[in-house]
Amino acid sequence: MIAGLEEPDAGDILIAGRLVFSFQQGIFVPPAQRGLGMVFQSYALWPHMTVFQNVAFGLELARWSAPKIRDRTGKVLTDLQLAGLDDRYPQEMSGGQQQRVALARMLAPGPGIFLLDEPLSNLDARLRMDMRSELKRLHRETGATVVYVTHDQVEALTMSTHVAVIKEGRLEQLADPDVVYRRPASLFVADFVGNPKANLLPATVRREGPGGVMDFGTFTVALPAAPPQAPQGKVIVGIRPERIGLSTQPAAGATEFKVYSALPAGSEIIVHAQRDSTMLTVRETRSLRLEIDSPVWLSFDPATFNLYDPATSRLIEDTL
Amino acid sequence: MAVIAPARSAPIQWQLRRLWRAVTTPRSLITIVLGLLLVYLVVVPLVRIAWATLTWQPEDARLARGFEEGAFTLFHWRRTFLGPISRELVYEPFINTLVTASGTTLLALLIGCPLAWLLTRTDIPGRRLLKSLVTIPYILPSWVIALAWLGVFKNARVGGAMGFFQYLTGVVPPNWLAYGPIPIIISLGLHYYAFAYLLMSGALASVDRYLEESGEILGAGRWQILRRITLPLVLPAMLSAFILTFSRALGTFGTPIFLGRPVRYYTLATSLYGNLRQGFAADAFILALGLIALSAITIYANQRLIGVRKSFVTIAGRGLNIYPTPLRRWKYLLFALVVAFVVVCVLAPLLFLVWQSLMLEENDYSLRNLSIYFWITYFWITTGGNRLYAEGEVGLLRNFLVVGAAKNSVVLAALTAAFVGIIGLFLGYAIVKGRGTWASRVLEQLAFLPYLIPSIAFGAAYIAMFASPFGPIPALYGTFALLVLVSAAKNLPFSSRAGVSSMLQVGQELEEAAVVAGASWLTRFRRVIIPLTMSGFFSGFLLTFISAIRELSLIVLLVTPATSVLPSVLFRYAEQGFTQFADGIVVILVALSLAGQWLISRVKGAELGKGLQ
Repeated sequence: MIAGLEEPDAGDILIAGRLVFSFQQGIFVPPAQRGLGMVFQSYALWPHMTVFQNVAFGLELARWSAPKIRDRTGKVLTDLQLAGLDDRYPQEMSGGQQQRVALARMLAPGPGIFLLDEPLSNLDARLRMDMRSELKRLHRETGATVVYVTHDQVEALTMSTHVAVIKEGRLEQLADPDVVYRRPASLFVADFVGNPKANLLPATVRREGPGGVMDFGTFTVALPAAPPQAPQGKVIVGIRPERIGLSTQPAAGATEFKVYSALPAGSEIIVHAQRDSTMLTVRETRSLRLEIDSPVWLSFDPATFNLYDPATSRLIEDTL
Repeated sequence: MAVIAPARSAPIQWQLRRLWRAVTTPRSLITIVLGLLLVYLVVVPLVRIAWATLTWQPEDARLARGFEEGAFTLFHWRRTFLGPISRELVYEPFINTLVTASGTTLLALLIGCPLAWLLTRTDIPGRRLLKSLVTIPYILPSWVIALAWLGVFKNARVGGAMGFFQYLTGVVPPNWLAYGPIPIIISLGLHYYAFAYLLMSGALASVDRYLEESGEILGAGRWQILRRITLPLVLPAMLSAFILTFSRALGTFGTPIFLGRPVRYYTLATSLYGNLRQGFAADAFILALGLIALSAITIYANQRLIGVRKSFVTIAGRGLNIYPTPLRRWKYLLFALVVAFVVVCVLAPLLFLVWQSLMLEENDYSLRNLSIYFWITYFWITTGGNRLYAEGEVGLLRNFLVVGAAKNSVVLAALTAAFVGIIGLFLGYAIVKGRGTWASRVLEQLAFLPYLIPSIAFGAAYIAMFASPFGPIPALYGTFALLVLVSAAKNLPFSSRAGVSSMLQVGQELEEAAVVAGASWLTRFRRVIIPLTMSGFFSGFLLTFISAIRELSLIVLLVTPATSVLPSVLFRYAEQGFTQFADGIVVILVALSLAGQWLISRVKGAELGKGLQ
């Protein structure tokens, strides 16, 4: 819809203050006049054209002169380390190279807005890491606005200045990546963003005197003193795996769990801990050897909890 | 804050602007134009043929009272179904059609299915060569076998001269062996088995070896695997092959007219032809409608019965990964059987026809009688004038009638293929880009419609439509343009399918990338879509070419001496009893078809099976 490849059923679209689409007024600015470039998920490189022809196509259509096309294409290809591959056909290149050709084709006419539709999803894990940092540099160097669509939440958090989380066409949250991670606005965002996933548990908050207690059914967590408007009653609690303390020894205020599984991954270890019907994911950066079914003690910091209204599944803004 | 007005009350010019944009997108324009074209080429003829049966026709003036040209009447329907001649006119041909079509289908499957299994999933020797040999009948006209059969088994009593069988044994072949249902079923079966074979081998080739190997690991024997895994997987395809063969056999015209007419054994298709030739157009049209209904019902049944189940053949679709079943001690016996089949049923009829075309005296099969022995291929190059032979007809290669027809045939096939290929390209574009909209679905269904209509009935519909001027279009009957039009319309289902599949390969994003780059619709089509669909277009072109060049039943009702093509000239010679000439034309047609087939095999990605279903 931003590119103009599809028409919305309602509403207006403004790019840099300019009305490019309005359902009501019947305004529709064609894609090419919106000043944007696009990289498709499949790269959509034309298989019957060479690298040079692919990159030069847009310039040709914009009626650039032949020498200018040659200069510009040469420069873009050199910038993206594709010099000398002009006469190759896309299918003769590696996935990473194709990706860079797609970028070159987008960059050539010098658009002010880049639309990247899952540009890295077809690359293997290592190439993806390299390309992420290249894209980030590109973003800085060109100063363009980048709209980056991805299903990979790590990519979303690492690449962006703003993250918009969209579920079934509805905007769930629009915020800094940091805020999206720390204070997800809805259960969907909390569940979707973060790897390993956040723990989402139903609980009941009971106020007893100045403090209170959070009852998870199979265990409870004591709450500090709170202002009177603090939430009460049934809630759903989101707890990040790295915000749970883990100890192999009994400790004050800690609850005993059993190790269901432990998945060490070099720099960290992901532990699934079980207490009756409750299962928690814990991320621990110390290296530990944990046997399956051995006891562990988990401790919680209520200040890091996010509470959600079970009825609306939205974040409860008031803290504990 | 500005209040946003609801869309309903938007100013009229805004609404018009919106509507105008929706209608003037290239896709909408193409869809509208193609929609109108398809309605004109497919729907209108059907309406016209139905209407003709319900109105008084000029030829009815002497038949009935109350005649009033052009007025509504049920006269024809009553006459056809309830009149004194309806037994001969409808009921007998109807039974005969069912008998020959089901017999043909059974025989075709009995040959085609085992052949498909042997050649795709076993270690039988010589698979590559055998595979291409057994598909030869598919590219030949369906009545080639019938002509060969006639040459071998005809008897002097009905056929005018004795056939090879009588020459060899001295025994006069009885009529039931020479003419009528049995030879029709055998001849058609020996043609349509290739169709069943192609459908089945496609299905069998897509059964993944892992599906079979999983069974093997669980301890199933070879036979159990075939029976419990492979067969159930291809059962839907088999059912489909049955129904599709049946629907094709229903409307076939050449074979029943060559083998049935001498003993007055008529099917719906040949009865239709006879009625039209005798001037009973409305009766013929009713038969055509009956044929259409019959064929539409079977194909509809196919889609209802198989619809969902069909899918599981394609699920495992990676295919190619076939582990040939070892035949062990049966290997060479089965190999010998297949080779014998190919020699006797595929190659021998062709060679026999070549031989017949070279014979001087019609019923002398000795080597001495080959005209090559005297003047080298008498009937090919004679300058005519010798009234002893074929009433002094000029030899094939010198005969302006034949040479003209050959030119016409090539031009007709090429024009049809080009026309249909281009329409198919646009159809594919409109259907694929509009996926999910009702316009796309309607277009797809309209393009599929001719598939339901047997060729001869389609030809009849075109007579109904073009015998007189219609709107701004003049009466096209007797023109070459009409032949191109009818051949193109009949081939629409294949071309739209081919167009859709090659358009699907292009992929949405390749075109969108060009949109973002600023390419206008025309530029996109010229620089991106056409180059990418070229190979599909070319293979589709050749497939249509070889199917159009041999087509008899579609055009037999529409040709006139001025527009005759090879199959129609052949048909005329066969009717006159000029065997050598007829057979010579078969040889030319076979050569043209094989050349087309050879070209197809040179085009990357083109396959015979693609033209199917």
